[in-house]
This record gives sequence, C-alpha cells and structure tokens, in this order.
Amino acid sequence: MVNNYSETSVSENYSAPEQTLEFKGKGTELFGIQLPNWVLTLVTCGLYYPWAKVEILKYVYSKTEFAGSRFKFHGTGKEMFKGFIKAIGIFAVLIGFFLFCSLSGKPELILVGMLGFYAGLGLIIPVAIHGRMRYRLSRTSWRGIHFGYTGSLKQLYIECIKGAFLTAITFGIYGSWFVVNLRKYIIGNIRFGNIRFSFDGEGGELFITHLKGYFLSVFTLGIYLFWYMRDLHFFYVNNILAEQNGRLVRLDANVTGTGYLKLIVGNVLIMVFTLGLGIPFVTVRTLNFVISNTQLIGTLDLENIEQAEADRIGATFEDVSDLLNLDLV
Amino acid sequence: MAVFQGLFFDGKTSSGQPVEIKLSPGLLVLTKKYGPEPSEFGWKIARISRNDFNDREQVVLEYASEPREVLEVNDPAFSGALQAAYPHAPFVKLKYSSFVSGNPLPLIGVLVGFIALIAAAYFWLIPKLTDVAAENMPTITEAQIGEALIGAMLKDEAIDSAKTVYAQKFFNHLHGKSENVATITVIDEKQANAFAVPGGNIVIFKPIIALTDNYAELAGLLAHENAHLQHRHSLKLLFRNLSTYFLASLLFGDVNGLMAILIENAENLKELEYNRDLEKEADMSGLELLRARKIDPNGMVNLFSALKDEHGKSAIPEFLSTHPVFDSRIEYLKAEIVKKPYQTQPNDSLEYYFRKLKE
Repeated sequence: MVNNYSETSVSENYSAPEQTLEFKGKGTELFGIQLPNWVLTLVTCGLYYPWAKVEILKYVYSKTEFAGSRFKFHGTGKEMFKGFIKAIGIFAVLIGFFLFCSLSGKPELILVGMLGFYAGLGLIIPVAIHGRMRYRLSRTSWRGIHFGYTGSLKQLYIECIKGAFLTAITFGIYGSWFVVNLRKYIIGNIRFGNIRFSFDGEGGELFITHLKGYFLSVFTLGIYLFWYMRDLHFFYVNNILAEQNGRLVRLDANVTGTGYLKLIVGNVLIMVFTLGLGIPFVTVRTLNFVISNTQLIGTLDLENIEQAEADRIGATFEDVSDLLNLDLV
Repeated sequence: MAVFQGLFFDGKTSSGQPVEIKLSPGLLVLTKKYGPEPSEFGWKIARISRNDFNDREQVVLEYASEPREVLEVNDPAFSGALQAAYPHAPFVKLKYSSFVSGNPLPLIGVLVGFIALIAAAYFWLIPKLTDVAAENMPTITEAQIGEALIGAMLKDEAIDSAKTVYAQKFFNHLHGKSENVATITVIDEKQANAFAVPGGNIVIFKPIIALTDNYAELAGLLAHENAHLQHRHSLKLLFRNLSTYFLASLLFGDVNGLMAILIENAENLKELEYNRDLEKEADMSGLELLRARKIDPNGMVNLFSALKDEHGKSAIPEFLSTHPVFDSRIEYLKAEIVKKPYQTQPNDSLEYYFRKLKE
C-alpha cells in the first residue's frame, strides 16, 4: 500500500530528457584555460604539461552532455605526470640507443640502431593504447557511473603483431582489416556499468571506402577529400553499438561533406591567422562538429545503468603501477 | 530560505532521483521527493569535492562518499546562491573564474606576457643556451658526430686523392703547423663550393679550386671554412634548429617529431646554408688568420668576386638570403682591410702546393 504510488509518480513528475549528445564548450573559455597552461608549461620547461592536459580534459568532458548530464574526468596531474616521466624515460632510452649506434660510424651498428629504434617504438604502441584506455576510461564517469576497460595487454599484443605482420606481407592491403580488428577488440572491451560496446564494421567495407575515397579524391583534384572524410566518419561512428540487457543501440552520425569542408577550411584559417594560438577554437569547433552531430538510434535504459563491480573499479583508481597515459606516443 | 530542485545520483545506478536542496550552514540538506517515503539527508560542505569548471547553466557537485554521489542542478540561480552561502568552500571557487568571467583584461595581459615570453625564448634564450651548449660540447663527442656525418656525406662521392693530399699540405702550411688542424677532402662535383663539418673536416668541391687565380684566394677560402670549424658553427646551427623545434613541441605537445628533425638535419647538413651572422664571423676570423700569416687579404675579396661572377647576379634580396650576398661581403671585407692594413709576405710553400692543385 505504501509503495503503491512510488514507481508511477517518478515517471509522471520527472520527464526523462532526450538521449542526445551535445558539446557545450566555448572557444573563449577553453582559450582562457589553455593560455595559462601554455605559460606554465613554457616556464617549467614542459614539466607542467601533464597538469595542463588534465585541465583541458576536465573542461572538455564537463562540457560534453548526454541526456542532460555532463561527463566528468577524474584524472589528476600527478597521475599523468608519472606516466609522462615514464614516457620521457622510454623515449630517452630509445633515442639514446639510436644516437649511440649512429655515432659509432659502423654501417651494421647504424642499421641495428635504426631497427632497434623502430622496433622499440612499435612495441610501445600496444602498451600505450592499453594504458591509455584503462586509465582514461576508469577516470571517466557520467551520473556517477564509471567507464571501464577490460582488455588484456597480451591479447592486444597478439592482435597488433598478427595485424602488422599480415599488413607487411600483403603490402598494406590488410591494413584496413588490421585497423578494424583492433577497433573491434578495443571497443569490445569498453564497459559502462552494465552497458557493453562493440564495433560492427568490417575490414572489407573500410578497404572499399579507402579505395573509393582515394580514387575520387585524385579525379576531383582533392575536392572529394571532404566526402572521403565523411565516409570514414560514418564508418567509424555508425558501426559502434551499445548493448544493454540484450537490447542494442547504435550510434548514428549525421555529418556531411560540406560540413567537413567548412570545419577544415575554417580550422586551417584560424590556425594560420593566429599562428597556432587559436588551437582552443579549433578544438572546440571540431568537438562540436563530432559530438553534436552524433545521435543514438534506439534508447538506453538510463535509469538502470548499474555501477559494475564497484570494488574493482575502486582498486583501479589507486592502480597507477601500469604505464599510464602513454598517449604522448 | 531558497529551495532548489536537483537530480541526485547515488553512485550505484544511473537513476536520477529528484531532490529538493536547502542550503543550511555547513550542510546541504537534500530531500528525496519521491520514493517509498520522502527522506531527508545531508551533505557536509567540507566533503563536497572541488569543481573546476562549474557553469551557471548546470552545477554538478560530487560528494566524497563510497561510492561517490553526484548532484546535478539545472538552475541558473543555484551557483550564485552557493557562492553566497558558502563563500569559502572549495567547490565554489572557480579556478579559471578570472579568465572565463567575461572581463577580458587578465586574459589579454597573460596573452601579451605569453607572446613576450615566447619571443624572448626564441630570440634570446635559445640562441644563448645553444651557443653555450655547442661551445662546451666535449671535443671527442663533436669528433664522433662529425665522423658519422662525414662518412655518410662522402659515401657516394668521388674523392680526388692526389689533390686531397696537396690541399691538406696547403692547409697545414697556411697554419704553419705540421699536424692536421683539420682534415681536408677534395671531391669531384659540378658546383663551386666548400663546406665545414663538425669535428674538423673541410670538404672542397674541385670547381672552386679552378675559380681561384692565386694562393691567397684559396687561403682565404680555407681560412673561412676553418673559422666555421673553430667557432663550431654547424653544431650551433644544429642545436638551434633542435631547440626551436623543442620549443614548438613543448607548446603543442608533440615530442615525436623531434626525431624527424634530428635525422633531417644530419642528412641536410651538406645543403645547410650558414646563417648570415655566422658567415660574417667566419669571414672576419678567416681574415685574422690571413693577417697572422701575412697573406694578402685581398685574396678573400677576389675569391668572392669570382664566386659572384660564377653565380651570376643574385636575384634574392639580402634580407631574404641566409648567405650574405657577395656584394655586401666584399664591401665589409674591403672596409676591414683598409681599417687594419699590414705588410704581406710571399709564401713559397703555399705557392708550390697551389700550383700542384691547379695542375
């Protein structure tokens, strides 16, 4: 008897907002954040960079709205700094090795140095992707619910080595399938509470998109490039699915070639005429273009996304032992 | 007391529960409006997390509970009410308020300062630091770098070994020393050119020897290249390019391209055009050597005249060219010669090796 009115009255009195994505950032605001960041980065000879990056991420996340609620980035400059120092250390070792070999003057050793350098770079990439996905997602939340990444580094290495090998022996043709498989693996391991994501695209589709885009761009003296970008955008966004309790929801982008043309021409003009100082405006324009032009086909049950394994995520918070945030690579 | 409407998220599910919010001292009192029974609970002000980018449109607060609770308020008046009720709370202090509040003065001030800082770093700090770094680099390291570079450069070149020997002797006599101050190499090339490589290497392209009419001209050329080596000009330039790029990558967050420039520099050093100031410094130091060895300083002037004729009239105005246009070099050299005249002495050894080179 007491419970009688509860469920119904919630839905009657509180109308659920539409499930749309929107970016609400402003260039002037981001500029106001970026500028002191630049100054501090310069004055500290780059050491402030991780903190600067956190500030930008926090701003961008807090201005991205889904169904009326904002995202939040919980990362800290200190965490990022540790990742930054590790990244610098790895680079210093790689570059040092390369220089040492180059200066020896022996052709064999120079070759070893080159190969070692590129092999080292290649081997860092999966670690960088894995560290970044784990870190970024664990520190991203929406309505208090955290994202998570469940992929394993070993599996990612297997994907990368297999893909790189097949791409090499097929003279790059397998590249499209490689990219798609990587995407399937990475997106397939993103969790948001009880929502799982997946990537539905196929390598063949990407390959055809590239082929068509390449030839049409050549024939139209580059004009088709913007429509080529649109096609790639469709491929990468529209193939993302979210699954909740067996129900599927698809992302849907409605960008146009003309839209891309305006975005890119505008961005280039801003960059040229501000000598790079207009980057915050470029960032905001681009995010606005991508985020506000993305919709959901179908509806998610936003009232019932449950915090998944809250304990484990809590532990991830403290876990900074992994190579964090190697996205400098 | 004002009552605000908000959405409360308990951190366990994404379900937003409508709440009424009252601002009482030290405590936000939240009342769930619906549910089995309307319930009231409090958020201690001290435990509400800092929030950097609250805006008036939507205020989001986070409570340090386990799991973290979130409160969303879409009321333009809420932000102001919070500020009035809890002026010292961390979550009402916006980190960037002065920059995003609409008053453009602080922003413009920082912008001007920032541009001044970059300009100072670019025009003053970087040249200073790189010069100091280049001058203090151990000779052994410089020699190692030079060896790697010269090896790569001369790999596909046809070296004229006979002329290389004579040029080396000529150079040693120019210095009046028996040991090699620098290693000279003469190569077969089409243009008239010569360049210095770090670690004591001078490469001469054969046609430039053909251009010279007497040993004083060749002495002028070698004295000039030798001065580049003495002042470590190519190292300075390499360092300067690197650090300019470093400055850019610092600001725009790209560290990877650093490698690109390093490799590019090594490959392009051959084409490297010395910066005009460095050229002038090399000319003046070269002149010093000629003076010390009592060689006719007009040799250098004549060499540039010959090079000028060879290149034809330079179409590039001086301010665009890194090499001072020959006219201006001839001019300042002549002025310097008039300013400090000295008695020249014929040098038979130089004359001998010059004849051998011209054979």
